[in-house]
Amino acid sequence: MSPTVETFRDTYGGEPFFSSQDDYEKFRIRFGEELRPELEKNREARRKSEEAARKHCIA
Amino acid sequence: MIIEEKSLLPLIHFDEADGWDSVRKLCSDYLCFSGQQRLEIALKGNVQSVAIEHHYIDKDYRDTFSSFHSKRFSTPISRCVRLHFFSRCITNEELRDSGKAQDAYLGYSVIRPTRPNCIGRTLLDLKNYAGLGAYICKCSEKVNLQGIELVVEGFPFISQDGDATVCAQSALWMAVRYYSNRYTVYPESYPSQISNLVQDYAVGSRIAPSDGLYTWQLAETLRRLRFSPITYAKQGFGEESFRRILYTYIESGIPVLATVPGHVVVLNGHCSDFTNLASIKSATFTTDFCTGVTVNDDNASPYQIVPEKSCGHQGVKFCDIQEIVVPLAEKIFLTAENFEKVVVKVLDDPRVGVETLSPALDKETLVLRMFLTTVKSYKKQLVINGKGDPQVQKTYRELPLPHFIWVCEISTPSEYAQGNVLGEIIWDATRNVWETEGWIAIHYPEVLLIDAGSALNGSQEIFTFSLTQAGKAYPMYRSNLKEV
Repeated sequence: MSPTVETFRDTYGGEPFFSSQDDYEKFRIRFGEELRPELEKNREARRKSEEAARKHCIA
Repeated sequence: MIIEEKSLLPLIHFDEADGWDSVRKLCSDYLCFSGQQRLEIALKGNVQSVAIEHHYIDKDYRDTFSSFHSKRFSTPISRCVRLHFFSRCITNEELRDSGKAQDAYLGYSVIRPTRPNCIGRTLLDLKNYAGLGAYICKCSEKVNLQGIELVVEGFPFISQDGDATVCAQSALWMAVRYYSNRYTVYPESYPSQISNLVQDYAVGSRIAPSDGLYTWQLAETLRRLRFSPITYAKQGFGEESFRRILYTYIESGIPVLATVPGHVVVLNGHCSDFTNLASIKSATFTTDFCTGVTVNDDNASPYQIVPEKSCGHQGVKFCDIQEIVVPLAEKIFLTAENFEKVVVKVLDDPRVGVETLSPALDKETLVLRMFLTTVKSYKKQLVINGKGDPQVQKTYRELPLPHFIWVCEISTPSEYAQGNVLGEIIWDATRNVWETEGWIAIHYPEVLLIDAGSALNGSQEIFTFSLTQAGKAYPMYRSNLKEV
């Protein structure tokens, strides 16, 4: 039988970090939402970079 | 002294009578004066003897000879000479035994019969640059010299011939040859192949003689060579982010192509100055201590240092770098700038950040070092260096991990000064940027959070381990670059 998360816990120890699936989902969604504006800024900077790369000729 | 001058492998021992001028005289159809000067600068006076391999058939020159030079009425010679450099006066007997010649071997340079640039494929060993104060990407080659095998470690160099290849092809060649030397997954590519790769996009332009390329064509060439390139422009990211991204990729052992007005070079290493490490007041990335880059510029000599704050440099200036093209591997989906954002978010997060989970780190000023690596290399080092707590080492070793990982090592000024760290954040580099649950591990001195669910190909399930040996520092990861 392939190892599962349960067998991982039995073998390596450790405790679930989140108290429930709901607790985890709340964390995941909040984390993603707080990060999103920064990632959007990076995406815009990348778009500008690709524009610049189309104009610059090198010998 | 010249030994067996008329043979196919004359040896020149540098003394009062013979030196670089004698090398040029024996290679008169190939080595020009400017080429000689470039080699002298590159080898920094460390050479005591040179073996000249006449009638050398070089794969890269033969490639451009067949595709371009042979089509001219006035045709250059199809062969080259290859110069082998040694740090002491080597004898013919020693040249028949690799064990005896290896310690003195400084590398080789193929000299082409092309003008104005005669320096062809060159690989100079980094041991020649001891004390340079830099960290440089390295690959190795086995060099066959009349039956004996010598190993050389460094970063490939080639100059443009001005016809079939210009700076764009030369820079691409240097980066791509580094990869094919270092990783078997990348095939060896030759100069005309590199030029031809963009021919579909040479709308209304000819391939050879080359008039150069646009930055996006550099990226497209890399894409066709199985890379997954990414382009960053200073005007898109702003000066500070741009330099941090640049250094983060170099720290990851990824050479980057850097464009300056009208020219492109390869950045293959960096220099750092940690003198002010103890005086930092807030969390600081180690890229803030970088002071310059090492450059392979096909118009100059290999391993040139380009300081950030020097206007006196004669070649490429750091402030002139406009764009970088990063030859990422296919499976690296998460990029440096986005990894930086997630690291900052994790460390500040009220649930998984330092303030909540690590009282030990919370009272310290953090030093953060980001890099990308393969899990194979990372696991190899953790077997040797450990991870402070045996639970962390065991879990990291045994857990299935992705081929590429982003790592942010966490340290303090005092520990970092000794080459030690206290924890790390490991992020799956094969994750999409929007999958913010891509973290594999968060390791602080007191606690380890690990995603066992993703490791077993399921959804994220985080387990926490309290660590018994809290606060035990361990050596930082070193493998991507060689210190010289």
